[in-house]
Amino acid sequence: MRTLGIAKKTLIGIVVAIIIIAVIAGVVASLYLAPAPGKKKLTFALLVSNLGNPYFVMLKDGAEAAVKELKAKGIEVELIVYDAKDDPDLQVRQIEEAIAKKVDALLINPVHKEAILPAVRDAVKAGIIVITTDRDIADKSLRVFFTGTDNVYGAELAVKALIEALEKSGKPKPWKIVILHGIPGTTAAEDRKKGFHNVLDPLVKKGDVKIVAEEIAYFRRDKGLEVMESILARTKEIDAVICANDEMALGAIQAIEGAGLVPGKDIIVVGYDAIPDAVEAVKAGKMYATIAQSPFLQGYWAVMGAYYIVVKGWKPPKDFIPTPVVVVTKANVGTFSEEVAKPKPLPGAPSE
Amino acid sequence: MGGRSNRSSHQATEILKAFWQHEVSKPFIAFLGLFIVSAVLSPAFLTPYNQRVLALQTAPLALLAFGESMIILMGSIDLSPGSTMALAGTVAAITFVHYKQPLAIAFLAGIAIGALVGFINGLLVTKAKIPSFVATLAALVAGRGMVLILTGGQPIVGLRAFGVLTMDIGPLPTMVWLMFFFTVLNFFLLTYTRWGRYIYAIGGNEEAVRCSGINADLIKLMTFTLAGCYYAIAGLMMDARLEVAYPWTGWGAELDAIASSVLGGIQLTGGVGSPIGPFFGAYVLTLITNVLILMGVNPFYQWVVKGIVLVVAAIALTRGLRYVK
Amino acid sequence: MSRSTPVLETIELTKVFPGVVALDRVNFDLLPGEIHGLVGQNGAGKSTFVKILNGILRPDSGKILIDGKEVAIPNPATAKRLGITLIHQEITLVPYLTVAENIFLGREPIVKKHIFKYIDRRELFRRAEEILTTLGVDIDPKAKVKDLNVGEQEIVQIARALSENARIICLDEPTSPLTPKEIERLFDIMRTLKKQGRSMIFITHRIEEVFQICDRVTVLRDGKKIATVKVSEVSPQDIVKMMLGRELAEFYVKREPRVEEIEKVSKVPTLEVIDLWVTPERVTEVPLKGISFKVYAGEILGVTGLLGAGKTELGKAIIGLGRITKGKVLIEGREVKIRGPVDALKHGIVYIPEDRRREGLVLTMSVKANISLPSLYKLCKYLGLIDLGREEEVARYWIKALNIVTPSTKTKVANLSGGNQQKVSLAKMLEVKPKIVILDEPTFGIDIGAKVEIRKIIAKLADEGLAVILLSSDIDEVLSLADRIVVMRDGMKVGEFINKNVSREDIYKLMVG
Ligand SMILES: Nc1ncnc2c1ncn2[C@@H]1O[C@H](COP(=O)(O)OP(=O)(O)OP(=O)(O)O)[C@@H](O)[C@H]1O
Ligand SMILES: [Mg+2]
Repeated sequence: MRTLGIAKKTLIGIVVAIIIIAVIAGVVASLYLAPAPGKKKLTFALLVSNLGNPYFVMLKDGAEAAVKELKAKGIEVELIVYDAKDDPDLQVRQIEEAIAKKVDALLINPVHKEAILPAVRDAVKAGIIVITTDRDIADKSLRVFFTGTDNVYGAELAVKALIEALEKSGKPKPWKIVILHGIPGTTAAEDRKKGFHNVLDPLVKKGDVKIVAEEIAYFRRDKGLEVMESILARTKEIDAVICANDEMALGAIQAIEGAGLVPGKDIIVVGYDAIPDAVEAVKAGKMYATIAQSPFLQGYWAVMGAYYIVVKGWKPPKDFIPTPVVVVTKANVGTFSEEVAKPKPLPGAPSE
Repeated sequence: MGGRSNRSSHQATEILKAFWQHEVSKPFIAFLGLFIVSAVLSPAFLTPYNQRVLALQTAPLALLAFGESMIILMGSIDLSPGSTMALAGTVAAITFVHYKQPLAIAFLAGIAIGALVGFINGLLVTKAKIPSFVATLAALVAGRGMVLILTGGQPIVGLRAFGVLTMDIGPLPTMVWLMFFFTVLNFFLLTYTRWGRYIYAIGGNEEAVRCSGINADLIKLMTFTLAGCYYAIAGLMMDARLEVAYPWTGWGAELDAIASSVLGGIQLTGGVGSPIGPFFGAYVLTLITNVLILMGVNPFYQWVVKGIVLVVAAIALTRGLRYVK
Repeated sequence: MSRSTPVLETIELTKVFPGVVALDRVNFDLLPGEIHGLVGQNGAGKSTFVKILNGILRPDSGKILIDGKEVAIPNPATAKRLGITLIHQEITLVPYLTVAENIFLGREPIVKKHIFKYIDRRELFRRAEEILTTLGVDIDPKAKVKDLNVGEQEIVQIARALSENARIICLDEPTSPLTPKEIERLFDIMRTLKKQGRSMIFITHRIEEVFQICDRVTVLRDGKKIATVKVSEVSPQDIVKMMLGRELAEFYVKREPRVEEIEKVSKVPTLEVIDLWVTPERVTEVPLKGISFKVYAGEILGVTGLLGAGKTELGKAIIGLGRITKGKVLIEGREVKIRGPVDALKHGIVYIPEDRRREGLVLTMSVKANISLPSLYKLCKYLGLIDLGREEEVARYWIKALNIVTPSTKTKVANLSGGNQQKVSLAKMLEVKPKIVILDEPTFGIDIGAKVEIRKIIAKLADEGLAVILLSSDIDEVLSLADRIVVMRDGMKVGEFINKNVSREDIYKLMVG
């Protein structure tokens, strides 16, 4: 059988190739893993998902601010910053490198909650403290704590801001509200959905609010536009739109204007994330409010937490430390960015 | 068959038969059927505002579908429409906002980049002999990457002036007129010109076309390039609609474009289908989403209903075929 | 012959397609152990008839009786169950499977082990071997079908029919692609099957074959049965007359060879090929080894040889479809590089392929669009817009000239009968008005009446000053038309004659070697 012969040859070829690659990998790895010279100072590795995004730059700034503060207290700390450029493979390699450098703690802002798990496991085995920030990993037993936004809480604040605006506007009850959700199944979308309903459901029961439409617009501006257009075709009697992110909210605003209505007056729109476009829209009065997270504190608290754990043997009281969120409206639109970029003490931290 | 009582009724059946034989009849009936059902189910459906919204939403998709259908008619497939439209939209916006060029130049730059992507796809298929699925998959991925690099992932703002496309001329916005214009153009191109004839012939039997001494590679190259231009125009339309160049424009749109073509009666094996079918396909696809929202169907059920409607429409289209692939 | 009950009978069988009545109340009967010829012009309804018997098409009215009992045959599976099978005009095997796998496709012997089921490959090959032996042929059951030649593939199809234990075997033009030797072998097999009591319906365009193998013959014309007669009681002329509805004076066009005259007038050959070597790109192709010849304007060069002699490869190599490793092609004395059909067309060369479904026609398009395809550039005035009126005219001209049977110019070519498809593929390349035309088996699968028509057209092409290369395995065709004859065998030129005082036998001897 000729084909079988070829198959055999292919198999042998593949096996040989695998062996060669394994040998090379082994040599390279052993070089890397060679013991580093002894050291006394602390080394933390901050693994950021994507420094191309201003949001994560703020996270890095927060971490660096914490390091500076520690240094000012005379503590020797070094922070190595890695940028994974949203590439899970690259992040895995960076984790491996950090392990090889025998850092004391990994502060990970994961690109992917599953893909990096094996590397994280290796780190834990090597006795390295792992802390996650902004996004969590799938296996929560691997990290000591996670610090990030509590999306449920943020969403609750967003709706509360909306209700407040409706009350101020003097629109007659029941207020007719449209909700636009994000990509189903993502943590952010699910948490924000929960937050919206936590506040709205009792009001619906009371008869103060009527949810006229609840649709999915996939966190996207173009979908936000199209979905909102169709909703407006159904009824123009809408008092407010609450969206699980700003992109959808901006799309909805576009649709509202296209229908000849005035966003902010006829229909009140609230978004989430405080992206630059949305902040502009708040300034212009088209969007009533959006929610700003605090990446700065996520970085800051990660470093502080790592320091307390490694040096003082601190045990965090809870394994989720939510960072504060700020409701951005016209009132604080000029100042909120400083507000969320100020160091705050880590909740539950041991006294000095 | 039914009774032939007199001549005029006989004539009527003949006309009906002729209509039924025509390629566009089935997509048209699918469209008509859904249109009527929608009008009955939702009172909001027939309002001028909703029809306008539908036309606006259909326009970019129709352009994508026209490009895609030409490629499918040639027996190839194109996965790049979504990325190409985003790239063209981005380049036009950058030309306009950063380089402060006049609107016309910005539009031309966008269309040119679309043509370039199409041209590269064509080269990869004809010269490098990479199957279109793979070649355009590469364009899908790389094109989106370029968009993200150029925009840094943030929308490019300041495209108020692109509003010439959404502004009304008479009863309808410019881009809807454009959509009608391209429907007619596409029909003429594919039905009455040599180029169009060759497109059908290549899809029907490329070997025979080559043996006939026709430069099939050139035709393919030209067609991919033209399709790229169509996608680019769709990209400009989305820019105008959002008033920003949004980096995630057209994400996943290749599937909508293919679905529109197939719903429009274009056979995936190539060579068969009416040039205006994809317009009906695009309209139907948009209509389904629209009417489900109008009726306030739960979003998760919307997916199921959409799936069912697609299957039913597809069954109607493929009736009478012996088998399909 | 004793009057036993027919195994198969049709009563008033009718099938209507849009625009044509393909079968018009056809009464037909098939006796046990009979080989029943079915003849008629292209589009007479022969294929339609056997397709209905095999459940591929459904009749509009009429009855089918098997062993005197009325049956319905809604699909091929039912036909198989009733013991009817069809060997198609086109080969319908899976090229990348082995002979044995093809014979038993869908009915492989299975072994069961626990919950698993395997194909019992040893048994599969053994049974295939057994069937092939009963046919008296020597084909390796383990060979891949794509590596067999057409004749062998045909036999594999018959073997498949046998393995299904068919009692009624319909053969739709099985002999067209076969060499004389293969035809003999096929006939032997048919005689064996006949002895086993199986009945056969045999479709052919070669009247002489009817007289060699058939007991009775039924003639169809325009979907109507003209007559069923015992072969022993009629002459070939009678049958042709029944088929065409008129006398046919001559089967072969007589053309006076004029080589000397032509060479005197035109000093330079229109096309000259010098020492052409071609390596094959596929397994089934034949390498060409040092072919040389000349064709002058106004001349027909007949290239003959058995199937697999390399005629098709030669034709394709000239239009640039083949890997030429050595040799020169000269047009009007100047050497040219032809990299493909596009270049060939620029030099005025066209090639009309033998495999029309694959290389000649776009089956999804209309008759009209197929005819105009290569010459569209002539039909466009500005902006590449096609002059639809002219296109229609051109199509009508050729439909008339070649007597193409089609309901309209808008009919899809896929819906034409095999012979009429061939005519369309001829028409489209002739419309280009080339200088040099290469015809590859132009009368394959074409009925006698049309054969004469096509041969007249070929002669006329030469008279109009074209250089014609006629690739044909039909010696008589070559002898009746060509000025000069080249004989090929195994990719080599084994002889060249001026068509004067050469005999059929001389050529045949060279062909088989
Ligand atoms: N699927 C179809 N749709 C429409 N017309 C058809 C179809 N199949 C066959 N026909 C028409 O029916 C007639 C009979 O065709 P058929 O194939 O039976 O001819 P045939 O006798 O086998 O001819 P040939 O010798 O050329 O093979 C032809 O006029 C053909 O055009
Ligand atoms: Mg036939």
